Amino acid sequence: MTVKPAVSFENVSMAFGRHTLFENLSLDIPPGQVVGIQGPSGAGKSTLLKMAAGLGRPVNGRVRVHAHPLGYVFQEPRLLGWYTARENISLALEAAGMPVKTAKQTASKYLKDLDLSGFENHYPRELSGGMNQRISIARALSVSPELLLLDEPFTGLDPALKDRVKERIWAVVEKTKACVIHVTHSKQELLPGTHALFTLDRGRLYPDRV
Amino acid sequence: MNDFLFFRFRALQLRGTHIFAGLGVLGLFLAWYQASCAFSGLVVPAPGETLAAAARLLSDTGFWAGHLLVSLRRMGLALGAGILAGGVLGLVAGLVPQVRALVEPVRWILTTVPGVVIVIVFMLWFGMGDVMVISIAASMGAPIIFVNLADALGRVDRHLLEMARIYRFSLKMRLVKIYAMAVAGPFFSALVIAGGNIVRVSVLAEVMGADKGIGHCMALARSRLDTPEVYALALISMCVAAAVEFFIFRPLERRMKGRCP
Repeated sequence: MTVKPAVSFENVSMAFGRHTLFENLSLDIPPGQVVGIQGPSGAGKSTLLKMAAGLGRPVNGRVRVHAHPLGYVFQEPRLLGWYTARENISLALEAAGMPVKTAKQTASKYLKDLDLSGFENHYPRELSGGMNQRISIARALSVSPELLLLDEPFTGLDPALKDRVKERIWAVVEKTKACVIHVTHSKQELLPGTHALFTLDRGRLYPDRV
Repeated sequence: MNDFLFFRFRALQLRGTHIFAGLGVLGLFLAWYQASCAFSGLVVPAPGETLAAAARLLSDTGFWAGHLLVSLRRMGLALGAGILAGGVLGLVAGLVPQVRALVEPVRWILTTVPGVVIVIVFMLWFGMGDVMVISIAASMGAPIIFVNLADALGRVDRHLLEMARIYRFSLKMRLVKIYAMAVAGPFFSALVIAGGNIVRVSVLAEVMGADKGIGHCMALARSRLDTPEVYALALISMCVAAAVEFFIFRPLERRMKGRCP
């Protein structure tokens, strides 16, 4: 019996106006695979992630996703400014059906995991960009995603913190056996156990060495 | 320590603004006093005379029951109707641009045509009394709520809505946790302006066509050439507007803005 890919891009084409981003791009990512995608700015890496998340439709072709729930770390934190760090995470859990009390406890646990203990009741405006990005990462991990989409998630983190956050993400990925698509501009930022790396350039995906 | 110094400085700054607000009020009273010395009492009565007239009115239970409470009830109902109409239309218009385009001409008429014209037209439609005053005041407040709410909804961060889609926020969660919170600040600011407008227009409508209320008393006092009472009624109207703004709307606004970025 063949296992369905967690994410499958089937002859996907994308264009913005007259500018073609990619054409007939195909890629199957099996469950549990950690895939890195690198490439120059404007190559369409983030667009590919958005399509996997259902936030954008290809002009041609099809994107199938057989993994749920979804965790997404955007380039910017995308936190609700009127809710505290803990509430920002617990809301995602409540939306997934978790009772409020358990959601808050789980949110606190993930904040602690990302070295944000003591900041649970702080609003995003009271925290640094790096701290907000870690809240966004905590939110994505807290939902125990089957598919984790990372769009340059370490923006704004200093090198030491970057390594620690990478370890925490990897620990969750190993535990949940999540499929990960990690968009990055640098090979050094790849998660430790990345299975495959692709370079997206001029509308084509090229396999690369991890 | 830095935080302590920052908050201390901020507290001093805020206290400074209160002192200046107090000085502003004092300056107004001084200018009023000077004007009352320069002009006849029929044109500008002295502040003391006006305050005495206000005290006389406020100690009269007949004035409370027959006029002040009537005006307050009308203003309250007008504000409620304005919030309801402006709020519902603003919400729908913010989400559906076609509805906004549909309502925009009415909004334009209500915000550009002088209040006195609206009063006269509404007097012809509704006659004198409660319905006329309430509908005029509500239709002057509603557009402010409508515009602010529709604009604020249009400015809700699309990135946050994408985030909500990713984490499968229900419609209720999106409405309550994102849209409502994002528009709360502009809504309360609009409420402050609409509240002031409603008080002004209610009094104007009562002056022109009601047999009860502060405005009606003002029209009677004017016909008796009782200028101190006219001024006293104006002062009472201002106090009503100030009380609504400073004891209801501003605390609500501060409470909401405390949560807003």
